[in-house]
Amino acid sequence: MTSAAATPDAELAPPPGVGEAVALAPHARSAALLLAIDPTGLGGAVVRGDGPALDPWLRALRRALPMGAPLLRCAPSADESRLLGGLDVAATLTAGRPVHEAGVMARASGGVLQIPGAERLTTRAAALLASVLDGGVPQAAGSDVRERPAPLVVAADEGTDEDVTVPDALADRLAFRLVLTAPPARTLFDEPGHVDRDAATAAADVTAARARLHLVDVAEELVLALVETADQLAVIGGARAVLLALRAARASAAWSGRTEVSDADLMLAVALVLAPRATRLPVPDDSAVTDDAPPDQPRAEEPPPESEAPEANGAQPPPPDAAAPPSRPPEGPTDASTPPPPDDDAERPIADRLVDAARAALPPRLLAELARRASAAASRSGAGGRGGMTMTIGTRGRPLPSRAGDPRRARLDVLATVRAAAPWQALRARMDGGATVPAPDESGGHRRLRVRRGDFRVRRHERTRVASVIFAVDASGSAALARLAEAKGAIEVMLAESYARRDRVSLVAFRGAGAEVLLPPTRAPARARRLLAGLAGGGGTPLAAGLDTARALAGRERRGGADPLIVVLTDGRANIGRDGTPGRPQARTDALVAARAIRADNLPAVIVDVALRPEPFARAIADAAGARYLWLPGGDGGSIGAAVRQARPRAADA
Amino acid sequence: MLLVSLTPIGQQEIVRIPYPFSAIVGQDEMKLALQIAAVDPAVGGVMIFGDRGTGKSTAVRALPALLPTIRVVADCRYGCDPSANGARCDECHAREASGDRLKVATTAVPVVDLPLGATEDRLVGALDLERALTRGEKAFEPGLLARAHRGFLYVDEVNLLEDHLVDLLLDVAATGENVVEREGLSLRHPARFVLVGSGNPEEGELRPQLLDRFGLSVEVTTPTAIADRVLVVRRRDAFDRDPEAFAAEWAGADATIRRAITAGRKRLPTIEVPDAPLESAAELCSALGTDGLRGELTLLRAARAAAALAGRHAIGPHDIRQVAPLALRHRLRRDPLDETGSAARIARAMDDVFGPLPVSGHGAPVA
Repeated sequence: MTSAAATPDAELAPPPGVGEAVALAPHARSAALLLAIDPTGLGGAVVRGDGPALDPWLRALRRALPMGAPLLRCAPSADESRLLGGLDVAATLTAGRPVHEAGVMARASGGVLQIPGAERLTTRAAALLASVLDGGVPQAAGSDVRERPAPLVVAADEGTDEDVTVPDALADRLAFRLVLTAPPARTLFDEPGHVDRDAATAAADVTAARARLHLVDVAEELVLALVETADQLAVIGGARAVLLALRAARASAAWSGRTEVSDADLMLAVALVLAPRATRLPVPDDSAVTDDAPPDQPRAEEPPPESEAPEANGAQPPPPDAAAPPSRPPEGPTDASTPPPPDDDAERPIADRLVDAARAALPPRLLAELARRASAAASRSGAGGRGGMTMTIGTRGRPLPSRAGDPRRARLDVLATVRAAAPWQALRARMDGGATVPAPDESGGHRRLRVRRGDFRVRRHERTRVASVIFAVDASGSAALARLAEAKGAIEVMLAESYARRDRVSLVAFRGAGAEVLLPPTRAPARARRLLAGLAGGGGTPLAAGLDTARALAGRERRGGADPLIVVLTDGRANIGRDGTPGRPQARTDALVAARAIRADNLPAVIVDVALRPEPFARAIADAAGARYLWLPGGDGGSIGAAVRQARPRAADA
Repeated sequence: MLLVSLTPIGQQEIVRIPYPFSAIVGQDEMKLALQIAAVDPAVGGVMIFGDRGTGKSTAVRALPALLPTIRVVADCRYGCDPSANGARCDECHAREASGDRLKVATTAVPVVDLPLGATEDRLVGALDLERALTRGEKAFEPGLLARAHRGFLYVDEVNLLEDHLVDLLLDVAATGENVVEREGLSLRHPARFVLVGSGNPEEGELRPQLLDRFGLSVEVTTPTAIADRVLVVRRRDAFDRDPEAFAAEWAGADATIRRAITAGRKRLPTIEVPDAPLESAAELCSALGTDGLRGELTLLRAARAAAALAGRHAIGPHDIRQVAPLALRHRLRRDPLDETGSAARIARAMDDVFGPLPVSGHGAPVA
């Protein structure tokens, strides 16, 4: 453990064949190695980064795995039969006997399954992947017999939208979250001879580490330190995160040939597993440590992110002061390794140093991200993949005429299928008779219906669509002076109604320099109410930003299969433009542009004017957005409720 | 703490040893509710509210080790009970009628997981596509309801399950029979199981009318004390390193619970219900204003099972007190936006009915 204090930079020594050839982001090659050492224990990784960044890392990972380990890809829209295998309908029909196809999980077992665009995984697919990660690959879909271990899952998050992320059910089970940056142009990894020679040694070392894995001990105080660190960072995922960190630490010790987890192993584990799950960063209590804090200050040429507006983020930990060390080179992965804390820190409690390790592992500008994560953490899993449950081919609702389709994805309409196949029977019998299948059927006597793939008809149902009401609340100083409290009361009335109707409700607040989604679409009104109660007014009125955010959310809800309705509560005194700068004329122009975009998207909206006297500009906004205009007299929540009821999308009443 | 089956460290093959029930740290209320359901399945399902990673799945999946094995008809697809008064599926009926003797096998109590997003087909069963395609036969492929017969059906995140599936589940759980009328198939088979649901209320609520049909409900939270959390991690880690040794270490504790459940089941029909606790149960329900009689019935059933589990011969005030939060918590009439904890309301009502909680003894009111 003493040696660990001397090398607090928690990076593993570059392994032959994995490290040298590929210049990877800090910790990324360590992550690849640890995954190769304990694949079933660590599950895999959520990675962000495009192809040029991801591919070298995947190659490094494969090189660390035993020779011949498969690497398969699977689309996020994969269904059960693609993932777990099932009956191959076309082959079955041709062969006249059941032909099963193996699922991609079974074929990737022992290797890597890459899922590009994993943020688009459906809830169902994520649940299936999670069950495989928990218990291994079932022999067939629905089977309890699990013989093969799960493959490493590399979920590539390619989302540009911050609120759409890899479903929690899956992300919780994947140990690492990596942000990969493209390697410098001049790297050696494509030089074939070099790679082949070293790959064998790397794989051999990994195999040796695997064999040592179960011998590695963890001291009691290190477990305690890990739990305390997780507590201080308020990691999402609870005990699972701590256990994954423990396994990562153990794999790291095994790689270094030790039988005891050292401080350095633990720091690496914290940096790789706990830091990316942190929702809170403890403020350093020690001035010496402040130097280690990541430079939170964005570089000068970057526009300040909206969420860093002072009023909008009262709850966020105070950013380290601007005198933090100069920012690192932006794209220098090898240079960006963590600066070692002063040597005299070695005597400090391990838990403190672990928190430092986490802090150092966080990329710059993450504090804003942390605040967002904290607010989204509680309800994200609901929002993440629910889009997958609203399919055009539902299993419920008003039946529609059946049409051609894949019987494994939807319910087979037997009668329609037979009807489609019937006219061709004589012809097919002749054709089959002339070909390989013998004329008298092997099923003994009775005639077999000759069904081809194209005959399949599946049932379709028109789903009752869910209504999704998006409240955009003006929390600016002027609105607060006017009647924010009454607006809140009105929203509560509507929340209660939404609850009764099983609508989804979401909350956007705008004030200061920008707008934020306080509550992603949910059916739990208790949470909305709590957030609303804690919503303090203050700052300018960025009406344009509020409208834009509400429109983006509405668009997402519509794509997810819901019928959105935007309800804007504002006093109409826009004075902050789209770019966050004050100025009434520009702010008004921007707000009108934003309102017209709502009309262009054909989104139903209601503008509720909460000013003391009707505000002409609020009406102008309503006209531009093609929305209903409503002036809220005397804090009467009931009348807003009635207006929203009228404007509510029709389908949800069906 | 977590799911059963993280693969043991250093091993690449799957070992199917569940985490021992008795090794779960804390969560006494959840453990009690599951044991009550094991003693008397008629108590109705158990709904577990709580965050992810609080040991819900682990507890449910540890159940088979706590339950005595059951006797089933050997090659029956529905796991029919071979005893004389057991429910039979159509196939076993036909075989019995034709004079065949049913072969008997023993098996562990099934605990079936309903994956989120499962289709109605998977749940209820459907036309066997394979046989229909290759042999032109109209055959039924049993679903998860059939597999769960005489055991437990666990639905994680039941609040995210589509409403019609929850309705269906509760209907079958209440009637003990799955009736299939679809695609020209018409059959019924016994499906008696204890429904265990779990969910996080922050991610969407369950309609009150569905909630009401769960017999018991418990709330689990992540332990707050650091010592407990370290214990959770240490035990889980020890389990991951060597599941067999860990399971052996806890086998004794699990066996104690198993004996209590087995004895409790035998004792259950003989448990006496004196008038006093019956009256106090009614008083409690009326003080809390629970709708309908389901709350009272469940309260009594659960109290009887708790008494049986504890080795008593009659229900005492202590039993009512112990199970009242489980049986009533989710039946209180409430405003969806009101956040006053139902636990606090129940505690207050119990203090009114029984007097303040005694320090020890069997609930003798302390005036």
